[in-house]
Amino acid sequence: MIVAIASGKGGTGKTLLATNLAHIAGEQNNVRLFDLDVEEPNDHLFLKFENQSTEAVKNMIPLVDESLCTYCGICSQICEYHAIITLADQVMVFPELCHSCYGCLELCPENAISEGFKDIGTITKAANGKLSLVTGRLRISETATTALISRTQKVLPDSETLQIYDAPPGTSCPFIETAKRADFILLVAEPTPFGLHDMDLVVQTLRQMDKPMAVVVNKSEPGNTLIEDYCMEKNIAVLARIPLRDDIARTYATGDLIIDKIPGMRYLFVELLRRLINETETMRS
Amino acid sequence: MKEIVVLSGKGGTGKTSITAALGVAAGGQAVVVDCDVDAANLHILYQPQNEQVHEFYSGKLAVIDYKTCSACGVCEEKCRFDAIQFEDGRYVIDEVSCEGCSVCSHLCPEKAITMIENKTGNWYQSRSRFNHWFVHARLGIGQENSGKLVSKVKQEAKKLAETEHIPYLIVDGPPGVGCPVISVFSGTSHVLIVTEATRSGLHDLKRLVELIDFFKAAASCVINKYDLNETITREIEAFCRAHRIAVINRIPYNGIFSAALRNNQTLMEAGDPMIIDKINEIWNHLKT
Repeated sequence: MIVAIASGKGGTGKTLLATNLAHIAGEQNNVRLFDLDVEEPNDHLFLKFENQSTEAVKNMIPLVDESLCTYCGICSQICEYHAIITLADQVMVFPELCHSCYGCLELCPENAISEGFKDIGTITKAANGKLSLVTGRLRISETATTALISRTQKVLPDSETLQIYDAPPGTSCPFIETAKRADFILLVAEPTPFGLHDMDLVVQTLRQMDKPMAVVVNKSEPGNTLIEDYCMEKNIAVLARIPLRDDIARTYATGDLIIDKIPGMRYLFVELLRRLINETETMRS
Repeated sequence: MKEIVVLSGKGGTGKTSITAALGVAAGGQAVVVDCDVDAANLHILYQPQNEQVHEFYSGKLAVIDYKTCSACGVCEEKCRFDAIQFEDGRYVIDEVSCEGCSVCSHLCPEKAITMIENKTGNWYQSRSRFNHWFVHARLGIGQENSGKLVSKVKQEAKKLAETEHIPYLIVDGPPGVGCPVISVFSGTSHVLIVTEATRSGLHDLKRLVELIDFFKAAASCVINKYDLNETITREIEAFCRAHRIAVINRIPYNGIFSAALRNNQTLMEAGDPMIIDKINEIWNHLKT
């Protein structure tokens, strides 16, 4: 089972939800949390595990053998990303524009192009008991967010394990790359017009992808039913409400888990996990 | 023209609330641009009037002609983006995964795949309800290439500022440090960083500053919610000092941000004089 935690708008509490939920679930069963917000991964700030290993992630870029190249220019004509430019007696490659589609390598009539590599980021694995954390981290100035997400998702656990994705914000390629491999999406929404607007974009995207979903309201205030009303209309279950409280904001600021520090929050997350598992089981049957 | 881009790395630091208020504080001296095309929010507060709508096409999408397709499977084998699957006896393009690289179309032995232009979204030019110029965009549901739409929106806003002789561009940037943020950098005179006093805020700030240094852009910083954790605030200040970034203001954790949002108001209308003063101070600092 793969559950993705998503929000559309940034800062609604994806990381808060993902880390606390993964911790609760990992107290009983094997759980792997994937931090797929690879541009700004934060889960490791809350799950401070000591046993870590990091590997570099590389993507293909063309490597031109100029002793074979006839400067025919076919590679440059077919490249949709303008990542390879042929001059009279030189071929220039722009690694930051390359999407690693292998088109130039496939189509070079002289077989003058082979696989070179560029670093796009790193993947860090860490574990503590039944809970493991896999973090993708995009190299600064690199744009291959989607490729790194897809590579991070492939660090699969050995056994039957609950997998939780902490998704990137927004609704475009990085989010879609994350959501397409998930079985169920848990949306975190805050009850403001911005929160509702961006959540609606995510719901439309997920409906188009035919993904089942449920909602957690974060920064919930008595009397404010903006998100609940929307969910009622769209027939989406609301599984929990995390209140708007200064002590929660301060605990998050410090880098601590609210299940450990704030009374009542452990119970809230145990109950959320129970309802989440119920939802996904109903969906399966 | 001075171009000010507001960035935060982390989402939810108050970037859009502050940008919206700066746009009002500028009092017609700035074209305000929403470059967070993926989850655009400024239009909610600005309620644009007399919108001109423009369609934006970018990138390509593969389409299979089943009359000529022999179902040989070369396209599926060669696609590096898992965008072609065999379903119900035929190969099908997954439009969401297709990166428009055209490799399948070049390698198809039957020439059965063509590439079509892909509509990525719309961009809009309008006047906000405060009567300043406002340029924003909406990425189509499930579309990619948001980086190209970001560049387009900014280019158009710049053209507008030049024709209308408006001295400033205030740009609400996208979150993160990836493709859309990198697209917003070209031509930027100044980055205003809006961070928050949380561990995540500081972590993401460090990555953002690494990118700002990479582009050799000038920057200044506002610390929002500075009283959430004053130890972290001091760490942010020390970090900014080491990177020669001026911390130009600190804003307390204040209910007025969400109260203003709930009423669809900018911070300039929500009526907290301390916050209004701070926004004016930030604007005065930026425009000099």
